[in-house]
Amino acid sequence: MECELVKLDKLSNDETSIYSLFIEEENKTLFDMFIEENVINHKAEVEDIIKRLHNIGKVGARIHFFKVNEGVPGDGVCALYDNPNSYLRLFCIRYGTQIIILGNGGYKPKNVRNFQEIDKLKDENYFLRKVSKEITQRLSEKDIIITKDFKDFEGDLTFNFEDYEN
Amino acid sequence: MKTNKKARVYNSPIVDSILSNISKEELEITEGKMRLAMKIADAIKAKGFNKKSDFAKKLNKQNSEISKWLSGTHNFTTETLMLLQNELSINLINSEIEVKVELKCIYIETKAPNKNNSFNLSSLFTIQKPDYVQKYSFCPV
Repeated sequence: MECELVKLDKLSNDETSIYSLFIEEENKTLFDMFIEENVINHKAEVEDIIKRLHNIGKVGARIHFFKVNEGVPGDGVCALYDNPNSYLRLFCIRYGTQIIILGNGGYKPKNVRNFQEIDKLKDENYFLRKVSKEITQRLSEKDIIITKDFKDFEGDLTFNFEDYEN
Repeated sequence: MKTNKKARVYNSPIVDSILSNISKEELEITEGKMRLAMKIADAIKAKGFNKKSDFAKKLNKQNSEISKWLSGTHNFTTETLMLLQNELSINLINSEIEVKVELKCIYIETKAPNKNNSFNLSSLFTIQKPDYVQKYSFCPV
């Protein structure tokens, strides 16, 4: 599956650049898919997530706005904080306060304690872990760099992952 | 680095569509909540609580309660804000009352025995212009 790291125009702002993965065969990003999959049943929550992301662009991706340690140690995989009366979990990869990559996520019922119990959430989370691992590899090989202002990626931003299933 | 290609900027139609239905006021409310959370988070750190759990312990609260306060999504009660204000020595509630009076015109009625008599009204007053008054004048009635 061909995909590309793209910068989201309306959400990125002075403090934080917000990225997502554009899936070529779907012609949309993982975050677009998250919205499409949830906007009908959870419109208010989707709007709330977009309001928060829009403001993260302005104020910075502070760690306390996220639920951290949703991946393996050090991979930056986290989720946007979901308050006790919300049902949606949106996975992201956070690089300090200035870059986040939005993935997909989904519905997490209140009676489920761990997201791993829901196949959809597990798949989306594990896919982001894979993306993070690949980016880390490319950063170490300098195929990708983070710019001097810490706000952007540059370099080889296209990927080919075999096993993403939406 | 093998290439220095910048990321493509992507304008998402679905994000645009949802953002266009969110008012400026709604975005400002969310921003206010997030900035309040940032102020509290900074004050917790400044007070020397390196772990969220230390601060939770001090307030006799669960860690999850502190996470909720700092998430930028929480609607605080006045009680909680007062508690945080006192514990963290920061100003979260401005309870001072500020009154601004705009003095546009002073009307003084005088009983003059003769309409032809006149006097300089301004000479009766010593007026010091306060900083918050941009200009003043005597208005003819």
